[in-house]
Amino acid sequence: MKAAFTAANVLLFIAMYMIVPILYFMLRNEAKARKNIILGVTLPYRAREDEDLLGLVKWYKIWLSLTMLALSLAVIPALFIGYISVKTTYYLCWLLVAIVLPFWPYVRCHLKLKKMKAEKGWTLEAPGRSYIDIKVALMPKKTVSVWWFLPPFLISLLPVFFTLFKNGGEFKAVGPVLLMYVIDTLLIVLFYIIYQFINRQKSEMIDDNTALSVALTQVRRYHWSRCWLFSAWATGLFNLALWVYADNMFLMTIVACLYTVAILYIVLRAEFKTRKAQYEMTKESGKRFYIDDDEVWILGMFYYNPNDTRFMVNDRVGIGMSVNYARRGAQVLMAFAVLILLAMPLMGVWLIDEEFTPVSLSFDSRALVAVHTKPKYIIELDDIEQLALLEELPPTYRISGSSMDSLRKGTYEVGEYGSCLVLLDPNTAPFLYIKTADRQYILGSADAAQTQRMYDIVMNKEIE
Amino acid sequence: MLLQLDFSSEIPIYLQIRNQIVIGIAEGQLKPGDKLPTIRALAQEAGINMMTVNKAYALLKQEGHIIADRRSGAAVSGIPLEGGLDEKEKEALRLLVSQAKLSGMKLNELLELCTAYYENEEEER
Repeated sequence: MKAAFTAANVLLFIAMYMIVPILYFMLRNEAKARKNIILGVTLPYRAREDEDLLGLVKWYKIWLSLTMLALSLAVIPALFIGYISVKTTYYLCWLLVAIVLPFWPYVRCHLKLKKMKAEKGWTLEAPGRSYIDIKVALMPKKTVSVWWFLPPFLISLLPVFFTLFKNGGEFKAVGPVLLMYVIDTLLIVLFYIIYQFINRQKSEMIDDNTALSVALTQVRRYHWSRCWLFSAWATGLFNLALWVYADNMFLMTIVACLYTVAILYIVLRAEFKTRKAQYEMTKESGKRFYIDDDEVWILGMFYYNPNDTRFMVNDRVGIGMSVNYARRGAQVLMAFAVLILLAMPLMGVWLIDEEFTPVSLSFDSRALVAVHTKPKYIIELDDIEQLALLEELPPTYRISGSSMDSLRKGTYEVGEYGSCLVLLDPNTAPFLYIKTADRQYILGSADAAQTQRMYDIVMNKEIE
Repeated sequence: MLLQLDFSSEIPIYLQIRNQIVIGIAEGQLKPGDKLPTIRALAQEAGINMMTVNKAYALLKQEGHIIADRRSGAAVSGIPLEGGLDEKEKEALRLLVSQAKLSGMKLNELLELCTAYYENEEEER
C-alpha cells in the first residue's frame, strides 16, 4: 500500500475534481438570460424581472452551490485511500454521481419554470416553427483557413515516421509508443472534422434581427473554429514533445499535464467567450418577435426533432454541440454513453479483483501455470530452454498490461532481458526467469516458498 | 427576410418555401438580383432534405421568379412577369373569394383587404 499523498495521487485528485468547478460555472451560467433562454426555457423580455422567476433563480443557485459543496466534500476521502483499486473505484463511483447530481437542481427548476411559463402566459401564439433568415444563410462559412491545420498534422507525423525509421519497421518493440503517436495524429484529423461540423451548423437565430443573427453566428463560429485549430496545434506539439522526451518519464508527465490543462483551457475559453458575447448581444432581445423552439428540447437540453434531418445541433445547455435524439444514430450513441457511465463502477470491481487476488504458480501435467484470477501463462516444460532464479527484480518498464503495488502483469521491458511476459508480485522475491524458443517470462508467486518450489520442480524435471 | 416553416401544416414544405419567397419578392424584401442561398446551404439551415429545397427552387425558376444556374447559384429574377394570373391561380382566387363570401365578408370588405395587401406590397417596393 503506497502513501496517499504522492504527486501522482494529488494529480489524479485534481484531474477528477476539475469536473466540479467546470459543471458549477456552466450550470450557474444557465440562470442568466442568454438568447432569451433561462434554465433551458425560452422567455419573453418582460418575464426577466418577474418576482417568481427571480425567486426560482435564487433557489436554483443556492441548491446548485450546496450540491457542489456536497460533491467537494465527498471526494476528499479518496485522497486518503492507499489501495489503487479501491481509490479508483471510489473515484469512478464519485465521478458518476458528480456527472449526474448537479443536474438535479437544474431539472427541478427547469420543470418549475416551464409550468410558470404556461401559467403566466409567456408563450407564443405559434411556437415550434422553424425559421431561416435568408441573409444569414448566405453568410460565408469559413472563418479560419483550413491550411492552418496542415502544419500541426505534419508536426504530429514526425514522431510516427522517425519511430518507424529508427526501428527499421520493427513494430513489436515500439508498438504501444507508435500507437500513441498515431492516435495523437488521428486526433488532429478528428479536430479538423469537428471544425468542419462547426461551420456547417445552423446559424444562431433568436429573433428577426438579421444583424444580430449574423453577429451571433459569427461569434460562435469564430471562437469554436479557433478552439479546434488551437487544439490541433496543441496536440501536434504535444506529440512532438512526447517523442523528444521519450526517455524522461518526469518530463513526459509534465508535458502530459500541460497538454491536458491547455486543451481544457482552450475548450472552456471558447465556450465561455461565446456565452459572454451571446449574453451581451441578446440583452435587449425578446421584446417583440422572438423564436421559441422549447418543444423540440426535452428538459431544455436534449434536442428531439423528427422534422430536422441534422444529426448535430448547437447545444443549449452544456458545452459545444448536441445530437438530435430523433435520429437513430443519436439514440444508439446515447445508449452507449449511458452504458459506459453505468459500467464505470463495474471497472472498479475488476480492479479490486486484480489488486487483491494473489499471483500463484502451480505445476500441472508437465506444464508450469502462472495464475492470476485465471491461468495467464501455461509454459510446457519441454519448451523451457533456460531457467534462472532471480533474488532481485530487475528494473521493469510497462509496455502494456497492469501495474499495481502488488502486481506486474503483461508485457514489460525488464532490465537486461528486454521484452518479457510478466506475472509477479514485486514485493515477494524470488522470481523465475524462463526462456522458451520464442518468448521470455518473469514470474513470481505472492508466496516465496511456492516460487522456490516451482524452481526446484522444473530443475529436477530437466535433470531427469 | 425570414422564412417560416410549419411542419404541422398541411401545406408541403417546398410549397411553403416557394410561397414565402414569392411574397418576399412582391413585398420587396427580396429585390431583383438578390442572391438566394444554395440548395445545400438552405437545406442545412432548415434541417430539411436537399430535394425539398430543390423542388421549391425548380418551381420558382419555372414560374420565372428566380434564375438559377450551377455556377452562380440562385438569384431573384429581375425580368417582369407578364400575363397576369394563369387559370390555376384564377381558380385558387375564386376559391378564396367563395370562402370569404361564405364566411360573411362583404364585397367592399374583401376589396379593401385586397387593396391593402396590394398597396402594402407596392409601398414595400
